[in-house]
Amino acid sequence: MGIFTSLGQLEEAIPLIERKGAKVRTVYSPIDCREILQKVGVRKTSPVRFATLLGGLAGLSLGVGFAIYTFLEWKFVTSGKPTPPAVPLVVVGFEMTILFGFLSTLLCMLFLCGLPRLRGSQGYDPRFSKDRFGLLLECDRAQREEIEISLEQAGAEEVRVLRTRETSQ
Amino acid sequence: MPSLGRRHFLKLLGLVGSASLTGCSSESPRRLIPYLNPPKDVVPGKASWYATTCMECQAGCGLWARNRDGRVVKLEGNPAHPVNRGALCARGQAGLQGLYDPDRFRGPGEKDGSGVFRALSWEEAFSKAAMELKGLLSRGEGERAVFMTGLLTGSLRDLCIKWVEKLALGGLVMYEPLSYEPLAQAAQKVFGTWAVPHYSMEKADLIISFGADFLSTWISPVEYARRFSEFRTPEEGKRGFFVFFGPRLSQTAANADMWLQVRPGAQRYAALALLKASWKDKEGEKAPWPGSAHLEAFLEKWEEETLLSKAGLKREEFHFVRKLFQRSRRPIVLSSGLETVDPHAHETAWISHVLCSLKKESLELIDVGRGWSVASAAKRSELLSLRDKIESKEISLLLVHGANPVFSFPEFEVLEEAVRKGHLKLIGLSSTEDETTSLSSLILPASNFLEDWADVEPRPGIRGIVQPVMGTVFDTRGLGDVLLELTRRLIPGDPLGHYSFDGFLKERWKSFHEELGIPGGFDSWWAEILRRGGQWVEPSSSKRCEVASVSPPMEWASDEGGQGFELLAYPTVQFLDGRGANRPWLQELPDPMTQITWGSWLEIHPQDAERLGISNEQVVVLKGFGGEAEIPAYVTPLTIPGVLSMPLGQGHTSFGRFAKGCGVNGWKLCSRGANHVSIQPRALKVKFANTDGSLSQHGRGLAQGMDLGEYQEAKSKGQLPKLRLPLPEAYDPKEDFYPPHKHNLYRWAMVVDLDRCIGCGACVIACNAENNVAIVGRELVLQGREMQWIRIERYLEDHPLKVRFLPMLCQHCDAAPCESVCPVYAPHHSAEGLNNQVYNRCIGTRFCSQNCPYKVRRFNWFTFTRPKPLHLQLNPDVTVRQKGVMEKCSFCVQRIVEAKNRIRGERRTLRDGEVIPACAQTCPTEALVFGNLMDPESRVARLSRDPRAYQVLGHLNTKPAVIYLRRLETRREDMAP
Amino acid sequence: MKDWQASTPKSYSEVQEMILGALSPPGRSYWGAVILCLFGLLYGASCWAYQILTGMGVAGINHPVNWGIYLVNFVFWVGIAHSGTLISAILYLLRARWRTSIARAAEAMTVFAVMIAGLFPFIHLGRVWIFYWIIPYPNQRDLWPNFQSPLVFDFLAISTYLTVSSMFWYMGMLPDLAALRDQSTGLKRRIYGIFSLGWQGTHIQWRHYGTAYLLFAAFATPLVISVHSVVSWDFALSIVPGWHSTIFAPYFVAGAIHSGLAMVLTLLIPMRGLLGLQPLINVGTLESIAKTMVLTGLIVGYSYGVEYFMAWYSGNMFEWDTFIWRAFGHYAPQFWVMVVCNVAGPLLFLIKAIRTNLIWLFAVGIIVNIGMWYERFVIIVGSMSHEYVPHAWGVYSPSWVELSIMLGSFSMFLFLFLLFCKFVPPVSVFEMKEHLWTHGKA
Repeated sequence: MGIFTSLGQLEEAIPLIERKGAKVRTVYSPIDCREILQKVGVRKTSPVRFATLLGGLAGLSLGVGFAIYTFLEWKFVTSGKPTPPAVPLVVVGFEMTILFGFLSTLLCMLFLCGLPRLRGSQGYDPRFSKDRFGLLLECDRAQREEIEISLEQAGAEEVRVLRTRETSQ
Repeated sequence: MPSLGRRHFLKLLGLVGSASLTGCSSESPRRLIPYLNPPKDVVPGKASWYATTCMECQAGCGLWARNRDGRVVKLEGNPAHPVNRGALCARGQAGLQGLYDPDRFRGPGEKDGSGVFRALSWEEAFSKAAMELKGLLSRGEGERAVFMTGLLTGSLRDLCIKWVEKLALGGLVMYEPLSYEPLAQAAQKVFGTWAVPHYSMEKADLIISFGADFLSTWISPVEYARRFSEFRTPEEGKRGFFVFFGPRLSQTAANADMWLQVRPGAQRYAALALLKASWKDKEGEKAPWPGSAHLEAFLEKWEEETLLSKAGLKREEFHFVRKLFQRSRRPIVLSSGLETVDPHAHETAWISHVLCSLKKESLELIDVGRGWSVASAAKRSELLSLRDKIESKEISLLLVHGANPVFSFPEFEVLEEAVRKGHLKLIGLSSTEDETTSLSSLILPASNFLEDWADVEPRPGIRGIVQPVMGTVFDTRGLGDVLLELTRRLIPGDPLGHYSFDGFLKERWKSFHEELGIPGGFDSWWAEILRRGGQWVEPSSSKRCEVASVSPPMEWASDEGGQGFELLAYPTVQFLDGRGANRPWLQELPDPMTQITWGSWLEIHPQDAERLGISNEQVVVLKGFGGEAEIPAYVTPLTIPGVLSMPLGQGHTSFGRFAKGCGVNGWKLCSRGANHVSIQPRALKVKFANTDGSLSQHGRGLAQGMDLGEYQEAKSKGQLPKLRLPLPEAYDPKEDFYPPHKHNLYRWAMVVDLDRCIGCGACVIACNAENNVAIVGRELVLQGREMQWIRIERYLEDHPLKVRFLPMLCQHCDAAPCESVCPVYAPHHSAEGLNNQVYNRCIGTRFCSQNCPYKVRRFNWFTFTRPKPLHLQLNPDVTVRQKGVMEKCSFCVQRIVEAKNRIRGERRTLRDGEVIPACAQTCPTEALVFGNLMDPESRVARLSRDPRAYQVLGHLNTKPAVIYLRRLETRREDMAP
Repeated sequence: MKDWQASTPKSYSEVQEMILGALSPPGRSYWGAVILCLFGLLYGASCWAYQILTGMGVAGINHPVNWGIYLVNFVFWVGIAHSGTLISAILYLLRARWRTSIARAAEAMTVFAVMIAGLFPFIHLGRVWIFYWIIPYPNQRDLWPNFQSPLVFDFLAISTYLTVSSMFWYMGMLPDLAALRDQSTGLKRRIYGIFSLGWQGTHIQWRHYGTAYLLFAAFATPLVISVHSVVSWDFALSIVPGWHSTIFAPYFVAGAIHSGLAMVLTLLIPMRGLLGLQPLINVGTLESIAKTMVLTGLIVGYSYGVEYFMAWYSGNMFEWDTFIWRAFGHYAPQFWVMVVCNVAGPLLFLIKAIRTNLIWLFAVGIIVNIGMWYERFVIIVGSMSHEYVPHAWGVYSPSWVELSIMLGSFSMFLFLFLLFCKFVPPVSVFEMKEHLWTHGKA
C-alpha cells in the first residue's frame, strides 16, 4: 500500500501499477475527487438515484392516498368544499414526496457506504482524513518488490505492506 | 317558608302537577342533582316551567321560569300575558342574577355601630324587631314608626296596609324613583283622574314624544316596544310616523322618523307651540270643554315666534310636524314625566294630554280608567314631609323593604345623619344590601320574588300571580310571612287571620273567584291560574276617556335663569334607576347608543367640547345644585349643544361587588326643577370600556336602509331580492367554485328585521343566560375580550344624524370561512346547515376567528368563573367552556335537539316555530325570526323573499344563513301634506 | 473571486488547522455568553409555562387581533431559516463558489431557526397540551386532522423542512467529523468517532456520497421554496383583506431570503473575527452576500408596490381601505420602518465602499433584520385589526409575556449558535480542500 502527499502523483501511480498487474483495492482520500474514480474505472454516478426515485414516488402516493382516506373517513363538510377536495392534496403530496425521497436517499447512501461502521478498516491511516492519499493494492508475493519500487518511483512518500490472506511476507 | 305554608303550597302544586319544589330545601340547589331518590314527577335532567310574574320593575310582565333539577336557570316571557306577550327585556332576563346575587343577605342579622354584620337566627331577629316595635307601641307612639317599601300592588300591598293599620304605625310609604308623578298630576287636571294613562299606540297613526323613552325605560318598555312595532309595520301601506322632541338622541329617538332637538327645559315650549298652532282645528264636542276660555286666553299670551325661539326649533321643521298633527286622525302625544329629563315635566305632561284630547279618536287610545299602578306610588310631597318628620325627630323607626331613597332621592341624605346621630333606627327587610339598608341596625332579609308568593297588578284588570319557582337560595323568608310573624309577636292571637302569606293571598283570590262568578270550584280555577300565570280580562270595548278641564295650570314656572349647561340624567336600559347595577350581565351589556360598559359618562356635544378644550375620555368636574362629581366626558353628537346628558343608575356605594366603583350617581347631581350645571376639565383621562371599534360603517353598507315608497313599489311588483341563499338551489356556476351540498330535512336560518330592531339588547342578555356566556369585567372589555355571542352594532350616519342598529351573530354560512382553516375539524358544517363548534375538539389556534369576516367568534382567554351562587344559574344543557377554547353562537343547538327529542316517535318533522333560540324568543318586537329555510312555507323562507332582504357582506359568497331585512325610511317629502 | 484565492491558505493541512483550530478550547468570556443566553432561554420558557397555567389572556392578543407577535416571530424565524438552505443547496447547484466558506454556518443557522420557528405555533396555541391532535396519529375514532387546513400544511412543511435541513447539515459534516476524530484523542475522539459514523473517505464512499449530496441539494431547493410558500398560505388562503392575495408565496420567499442573508451577515461578521477565519470567510464572500441582498431587497420593495397596485386596481373597497390604513393608520410607524429598512437599507450596498466595509455590512444586516420583523408585524397585525366590520375594529400591542418569550427565542438561537461555533467545524473542511485541488489544477 502506498501513501501519497499529492493527488497528482496518486493519479499517475494508478495506471502504472495496474500495468504491473496489481489490483487497486481502495483509494483513501480527504476530498471527493471524481478523477480517481475514472482511473480506478468505477462509474461516477451511484445507484443511490434509484432509491431516491422510489422513495419519492412512495411518498407521493402515500401522502395523497392517506389524505383522501382521512377525508372519506368522516366526510366533514368544511367551507362548503367537497370531500375529498383536490387542491390541498397537492401540498400534502409534495411535502411527502420530498420527505420520503430524501430519507430513502439518505438510508441507501449510508448502506452503500457501509456506514455506520464500528471498527476502522485495515490499512486506514488517520492522515487520510487530513492531507494524505492512500492507495491500497493487491498483488501476489512475486510482484511485491517490483510494485513497491514503482510506487516509490511514482512518488509515494511511504510504502507499507499489510499482511493479508493472499499476501504474506 | 313556615311548615304549614309549605304543606299548603304543596297541595297547590300537586294540583298543578309540578311538585319539584318539594326537594328545594334551601341547600338543595347546591348539588347538581339535588335528589338521591327524586319525587316521581321530577325527572332529573328534564326542565319544568313555572308561570310567575316579573317584579324587576312596575310593568309587571308575565314570566315563565325554567327550573332544572331544583334551580331556576332561565326566565322567559309568558306568551299568554297581555303586557309582554312572551317577550322580556334585558332587566327582566337578568332577574335571575338578582336571585343568585352573591351579595344578598345570607340570612337575618344585626349591625353594631361600626357597621359590622353579625348573623342572627330568625328567632332572635324576630324578637329583636318585635322589641323595637313593642317599645313604641307600648308607649302608644306607633306613628313614630314608618314602613317604607318599593312600589307594591295586589295582596302584598293589601297586607302591608292592613299591617300598618293593625299596629297603628305612622304609615306606609311606597317609594318609586320613577313614579311619573307629573303624568298622573296632569291626567288629574285634564281627565279628572289621578292616573298614569295607558296608550294603545298600535292603533295610532302618529306618535309625538316629548322626551318619553318608551322603547327603553318608560313605564312599560316591553309592551310599548311591541305596540310601537305594530304601529310601524308597513303592511297594507299604512305605516305610522314617529316624531321625537328632545335634547338627546336616545335609543327611542334613534328609532324615530324625525328627531327635533329641544333643550330639556324648553320641551314645554315646543309642546305649547304645537298646542297653540293646532288648538283652533280641534275636533270634539260643539260645547267647549271646561276651561277652554282660560286656555285660549293663556295661548293668546304667547307668540308662536317666541315659543319657537325659546324651544330653539326651526320654523319649517315645526310646521312640518304641525301639518302632520293636523292631518293625522289618531295622534298620540307622550311626555317623559321625569324631572331629571324635563325640569318642567308637569307643564309638558299637561300640554301633551291636552294635545291628545284635540282628536276625538285619540281619546279612545288613551286609557285613564285602567292606568298604571305606578300612579299609586308615594307623591314627592309625601316623601318630602316624611323627610321633614325624620329631621324633626318625629320618626324614630323606619322599616325598609325594596326601597333605596338614599341612592335615588338626594333629599333623603338626611337619613344617614339621623341614623348617625341615633334618633332614627332602621330595620331592613330588603333581600339585598343597598345604600338605605346598609344604614339599618337590624336586618330580616325578605326572599327574592322568585322564591316567594305574591301577585302583581300593573293595571286594573291584569292580575299576575307570583309563585315560588324554586326553594330559597339563602336563609330568607317572604315579606308577607315576616310581617305576619311580627304581628303575632306583638298582638296575641292571629290578628290578621292568617298564619302564612300564601293563605292570605289565596283568600284574596277566592274573592276574585266570586266577583267574576267563574263556574266550577275554586281549586280547579286556582290551578288554572297558577298554570296560566294570572288572570286578566280583555278591556271591554275601550270607552273613550272624557276631558274634564283644559284650563291651564295656575302657576307656569318661569325659566330659571341658570348659567352654564343644562344637565339631563336619563334612566338606562340596563339599570333603570339603578336597581340593576349589581347584575354583571347588565353591567357588561353595552349601552345601546354609546356602546360603553361598566361605568358612566357625561355626553357633551363636540362644539362645546371644542370650546372648553375637552377631549374624549377626559375627566371633568361637574358642579350642580346637587353637589359636584368627577366624570369622564364622552364627546358625541348624541346630545345637543348646551346640554350635558348622563346615565342614571351607576355610582353605587354599597350595592355589591359588581356595582362598586362603577361611574357616578346621576341622582345626586340633578336636583329637580333646577338642572343647570357647570363643568371644568381636569388633566386626567379615564378609558371607556366601549365595545365599538368605529362610530360609522364607513359606507360599507352593512346596515342598510330602503325607502318606503320604493319598497312598496317593489313589493307590489313582486320583486325578489338577489340573495346567495345557503341552499343547493342557490348554486351558481358563474360564482361558485365548489359544487353545492345537500342538507338533511332542515336548513336552520334566521331573519333579522332591521326595521323592527330597536337596539334594546334584550337578546344579548337572553343569550348570556341560555348559553352560559362568560362575563369578563371592565379590564378585559378594555382589552377587547368581551364574550357576548350576539351584539347590537350601532352605526351613526351624518347629515342628517341617523342611527342604525345591526344585530350581529354567527351567520352559520354555508361556505363558512372559519371551517376549513381549522386543523382539527373543531368547526364544521352539520347536516342541518349549522356551523358546529366542538369545544372539546378545539385546540385554540384562533384561525377560525381570524378568518370570520363577521368577527362573531369569541375566544376564552382565561377560564372564566362565577362567584357563588351565581354559578347555580348555569344552564346544564350547555357546556361551560374552558380556557383556550373558541366559542360562538350555536343557534341554541341544545334547543333544537330538545325539540327533536320531544317529537321523537311522532313520525314528523319539526313545525315552524317549534324551535326558537333564546334571542328570538325574548325579542319584544319580533325582529328576530328563526326557522327552517328548506320549508318554503316557513316564516324565514317567506321573509327571505321580501324585497327588503339582503345579506351582510353577501359579496364574499359565504352564503350566510342570517338574512337581514333593510330598515325602512320614510322620506319627508312623502309625508309632506 | 481573485482576492478569495489570494487570502486562502495554500495546503490541505493549513486549511484544516485553520478551521479546526477554531475549535480550540474556548475562553471564559465565551462561557459567560453561553450562560447568559441559557438564562434568557430559561426565562422565556418559564414565561411560557406561566401562560399555559393562566391562559392566553396574559398575551396582548384580543378580538379582532387573534394572532400576535407569536406568529410574527414564527414567520420571522422561518424566514431566517431560509438563507441557510438557499446558500448551501441552491448556490451549490449553481456552482457559486463563494458559498463554500459560509455554507456550514448558514446551514447551522437554518437548523436552529427552524427549531425555534417550530416552537412558536405551539406557544401560540390556546390548549397546547393537546397539540398532538394536529398530528395524524391513529386513534379509535379514526379522527384525523383536516388536510385542508393551512395549519396542517404548515405542520407538514415545517417538520419536513426540519428533518431535511438538519440531515443535510449533518451529512455535509460527515467527512469533517471524521477528520476531527482522527486528530483528536480520548473521549473527544470517541464522541466524534460515533458522530462520524466511521467515515473513511474510500473512493466507494466518496462515490455514493457525492451523488447523494447532489440529490439532497436537489431536494432541499424546491423544499425551501415550498416551505415559505406554505407559510405564506396561512395568510393568503384566508379571507382577510391584506392577506388574501396570490402574490404572497413569492413575496414571502423573497422576504425570507432577504432576512436570511441579513442574519448571515449579522452572525458571520462577528464569528469570523472571533474564530480567526478571516482568510476563509473574506470580504469578497460578504460582498457577494451584500450583492444578493440588493436583489432580494428590490424584489421585496417591488412586492410592496404590487400589493398596493392590486389593492387599488381590484376596486375592492375593503382591500384598498386596509392598505390605506396600513400606511396612515394606527400602525403607520411600523409600516414606514418596514419600508425604509427593507428597501432603502440594502440599496446602500450599491456603493462599493459600503458593501466592502465590515461595520456597514453588519449595520445594514441588523437594519434589515429589524425591518423584516416589522414586515411580518405589519402584515399580520395590521390586517387583522382593520377587517370587514368596523364595529369589530381594534388594535393590539404585545404584553410583557409575549416580549419575554420573544427574548427567550433569540437567546435560544444565540445559545445554539455559540455551541455550534465551538463544537463543530464552522466551515466545511473537505470542500475547502476540494477548492484547493481544483484551483491547483487550473
